[in-house]
Amino acid sequence: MGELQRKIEILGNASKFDICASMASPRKAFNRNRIGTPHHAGICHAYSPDGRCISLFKVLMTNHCLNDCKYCINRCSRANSKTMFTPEELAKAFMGLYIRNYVEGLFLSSGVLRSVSETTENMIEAINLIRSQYKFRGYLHIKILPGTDNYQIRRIMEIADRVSLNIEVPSPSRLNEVSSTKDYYLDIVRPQKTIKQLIESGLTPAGHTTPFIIGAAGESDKEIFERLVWEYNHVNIKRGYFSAFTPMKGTPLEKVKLPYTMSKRENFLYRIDWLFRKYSYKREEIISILNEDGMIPLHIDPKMAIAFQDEIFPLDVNEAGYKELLRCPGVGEVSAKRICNLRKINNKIKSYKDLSRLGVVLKRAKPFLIIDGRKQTNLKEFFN
Amino acid sequence: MIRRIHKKKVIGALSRHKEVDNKFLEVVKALPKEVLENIGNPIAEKAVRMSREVNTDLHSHKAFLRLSVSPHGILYASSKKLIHRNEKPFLQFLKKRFPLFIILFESNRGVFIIDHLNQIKMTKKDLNYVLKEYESYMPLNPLLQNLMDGNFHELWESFALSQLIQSKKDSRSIINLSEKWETKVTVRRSNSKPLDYFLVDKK
Repeated sequence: MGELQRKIEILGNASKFDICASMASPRKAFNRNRIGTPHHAGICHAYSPDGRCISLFKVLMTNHCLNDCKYCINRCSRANSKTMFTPEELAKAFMGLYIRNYVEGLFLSSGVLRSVSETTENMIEAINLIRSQYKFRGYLHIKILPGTDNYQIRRIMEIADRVSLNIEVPSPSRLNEVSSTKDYYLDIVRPQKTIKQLIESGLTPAGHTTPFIIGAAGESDKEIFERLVWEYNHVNIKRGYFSAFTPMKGTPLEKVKLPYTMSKRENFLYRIDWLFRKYSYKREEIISILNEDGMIPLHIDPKMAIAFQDEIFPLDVNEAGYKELLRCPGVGEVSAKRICNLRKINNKIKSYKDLSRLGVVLKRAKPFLIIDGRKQTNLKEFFN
Repeated sequence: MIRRIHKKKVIGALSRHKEVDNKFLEVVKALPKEVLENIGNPIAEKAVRMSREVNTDLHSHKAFLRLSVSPHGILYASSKKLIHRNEKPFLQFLKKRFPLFIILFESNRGVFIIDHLNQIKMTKKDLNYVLKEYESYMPLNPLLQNLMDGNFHELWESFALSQLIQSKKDSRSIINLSEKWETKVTVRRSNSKPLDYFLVDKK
C-alpha cells in the first residue's frame, strides 16, 4: 500500500485544479448484480483543507506529459515527481474507497505519456476493469484528452456517465500564447463535435462539460462568455466551469502577478453563466453590463446590474409571471415557483414576512417589488 | 431542476423526528398539498423545518459514515450519533447502492439488518455477534477478494489532503475551525468511527 499511497498523493495533487461538480446521471441501473448506482447527487464525503467539497476520487492516470502548456503543473519540462497508475491499481484503489463510502464516483484525467492514443488506451483499460470485473454501475467522469481519435472517444463514451474536454482558453490566438503543442481546431473543436454527435446518438447520459482557466492567457470576460455561448449553441455542452489561474512554481508563468480579485472574477463568471443557462437571459443583456475592457464589473452583482436597467421593475409580486419574478434579484427558481403555486390557490403575498418564508432574499429583492400596493421608495422619486 | 417539497416525503420525515407530536402530525396531514409544498403558512414552515432536521441527520450519515467490509459480502457500520429514527431509510439507501451485500447498521436503538430480500430486521444483540452469525453461513464473495487488503482510510486521507489549493482557501468558511482542522481532512458533521473503535473493549 506504501507505493500506491505515494501515487495517490502525487496524482491526486496533479489533478486538483480540474473541476467536477456533479455526480449524478440519469442512466438506470436495473440489474441487481452490480455495485453502485449513479442516481444520487449532492453527497459530499469530506471537505478539503481549503474548505472545498470532496465527492469524487479525482486523479490522473499519469502526470507525465508531452505538452508544454505554460500554466500547467504537469508540463513536460517541469521537474516534479512523475508516476503513473496501472489500470489494476487504479481500479482497486477506487473500488476499495467506493464500497467503504469514502467517494461517490471516479473522475479520471491524465497527462500524455508517449502518445495520446496510448494514454487513452490505458484509461479505457482501467475503466473497463471497473465496469466489468468489479461490476461498478456508479458515476464515472472521464476526461477526453485533446487530440483523441474518434474511435477511442466512442469507446470511452460507451462506458462513461459524463465526459469533458479542456478548452482552457477562449480562442486559437489565446491558445498559441500558452501552448505550442496544441491545435485549437484539430485537438479541441474536432473532438468536441464528435462528442456532440455521439451524445445525440444516445451515449454518455450526463452529457459533456468544459472548463476555462481564468487569467492565464490575458483573455477578457467577454471573450470567455462569447466562447461559452458558442459552446452551448454549437457543441451542446451541459455547462462550463471556471478556474482562477494559480501561478505554479517551475512554470513560465510562475512570476505572473495577478489581481487579488481573481476568485471574485471566477465567482462572477459562474453567476453570468447561471443567468444565461438557467434563467434564459439573452446574450446581449449580459454583454451590456460589461465595462469597456470587456470585464465584468465586480462591485455589483450581475443580476442586479441588469435589473437596474430593466424597465419591468418594480414588479407586483402577486401579478408578475414566473419568468418576470425570476429576473428579480433575491428571487430564485424555488421562490418564484412557490409564489406562483400559492397564487393558484388564492394564497397571496401580503407582507415581506410571507416572502421571507418562501425563501426570497429581502435585502436584494425589496427595491424591485410591490407588495399590496406598497414598495420601497427610492431617491429618484424625490427629484421627479 | 427545482428541488420540490413533496407532502408525502415531508410527512414521512416528520414521522421519524424524535420529538414529533402525533397531534401536530395530524394537523400537517390535513394541510392542503399546495400550502405545505409551498410553505404557505407558519405551520407548513415548522413542518418543513422539522423534516429538514430529519433529512440532515440522514444525509450526514450517507455522506460521512464509513463502512467496514467483511469478505463474506457484508457491509457494516456503527453510529451512536443518529438522532432521529433514520435507520430504515439509511439501510434502503445503502441497499440500493450495494444490492449484492447484506448490510448491518448499529445505532442507539439496536442493530438493523437489511438482507438479500430487502427485508429489514432489528435485534438488540451486539453488532459483533450478529456479524459473526451471518459470516458463519454466508460464502466468501469473489468481488471483494481483491479489496480487503490495505488501509483504505490512509489512502483516502492522502488523497483528500492532496486536494488543498492554498489560493482557494475560503477564510470565511473556516474561520471558526480549530487549528487541527486546517491541517487534517475535515468532516464537519458526524464522526465516522470504524467498527474496531467500538469492538476493542469487547474482545
